[in-house]
Amino acid sequence: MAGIKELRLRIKALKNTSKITAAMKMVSAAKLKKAQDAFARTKPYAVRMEEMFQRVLATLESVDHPLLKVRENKRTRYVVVSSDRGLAGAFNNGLFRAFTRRPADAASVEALGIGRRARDFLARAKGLAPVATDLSNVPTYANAAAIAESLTRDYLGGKVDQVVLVYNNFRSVISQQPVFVPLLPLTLPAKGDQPVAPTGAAKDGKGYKDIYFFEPDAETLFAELLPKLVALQVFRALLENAVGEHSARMTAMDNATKNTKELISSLTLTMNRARQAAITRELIEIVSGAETLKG
Amino acid sequence: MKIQILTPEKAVFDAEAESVRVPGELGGFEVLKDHAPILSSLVPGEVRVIADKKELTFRVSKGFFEFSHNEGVVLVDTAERA
Repeated sequence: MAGIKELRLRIKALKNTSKITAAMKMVSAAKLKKAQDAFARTKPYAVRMEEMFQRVLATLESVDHPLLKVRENKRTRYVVVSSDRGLAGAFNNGLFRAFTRRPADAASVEALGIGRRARDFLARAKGLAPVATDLSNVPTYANAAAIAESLTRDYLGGKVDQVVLVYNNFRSVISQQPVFVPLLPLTLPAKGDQPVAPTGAAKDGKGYKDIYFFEPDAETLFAELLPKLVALQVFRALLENAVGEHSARMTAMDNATKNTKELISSLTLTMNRARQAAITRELIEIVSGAETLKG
Repeated sequence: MKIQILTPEKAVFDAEAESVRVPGELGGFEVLKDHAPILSSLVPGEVRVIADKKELTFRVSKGFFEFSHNEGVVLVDTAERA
């Protein structure tokens, strides 16, 4: 049996660990709240953008744009989005595992990591060409736009024929799901049979081509809206990643704190037993010593 | 009428207004109550909103403006109170 002193040291160390994990949990909870708020604030923009796009789309007879054209796929680029830091349970590893086990690719594959964990993982991964990048996973729109622009440039320049986003979709605080989202070529949101009603208007069943003024014209607006959709998709991936990271870390730290608590209580029990045994032994020695002297 | 100025990161303005002037791609224009539905792209410039008889100015980047049924929305990458 370990000595009382060693046990006491171990308990002390565990107590320190549990203080750290509990603090990290609190920090993650605060960051999660912030990330979720940021996510919620993007909602109105995203909704209105989609509506506007549908409205323009509804008036066009046919659409044609380089970003929409499906080309023969010779090279696929995966954009893997992860957190920068670890200690978030299986958050990143679950994503990497899903990525490794993806269905076989028909085309040659290259991968770009957004976030330090993803970059490190892709540098080690076999059978794919990692793309050097200094793009970060900061969930700001400016950053998302920069990523989207770089991807769009490579796509339009013919370097890659398909771009797929790989990230953890935030389902709930305890569940994040790895998803593969094709980014380029852009797939249009299904054209609704019913034209989108202008906000606040009663549906009158008419197309909106007749009543809306488009400036400069619907085709130009359409071409200008497309890149926004790409940026918005990337922004969403960054936000999902941020929210997921903090919730995964919060859950992981909560579990760690619980585990240390359990360990501490079991070690304390062992230590108390050992101490009691030592006291009993000493008492017996004293008593038997006294008996011997008497005799 | 209701005017919203939205960026992907937050709503910069969201309130009742008397009029709004936006930097349209084909030139700036002002929208008052009961304006016909319009959807226009915007160039970087200033959006001026008159609300409560006060004029508020916002510097905006490229974006879009939609107005219909007395609801107007400015969608831009960035917008700052000037």
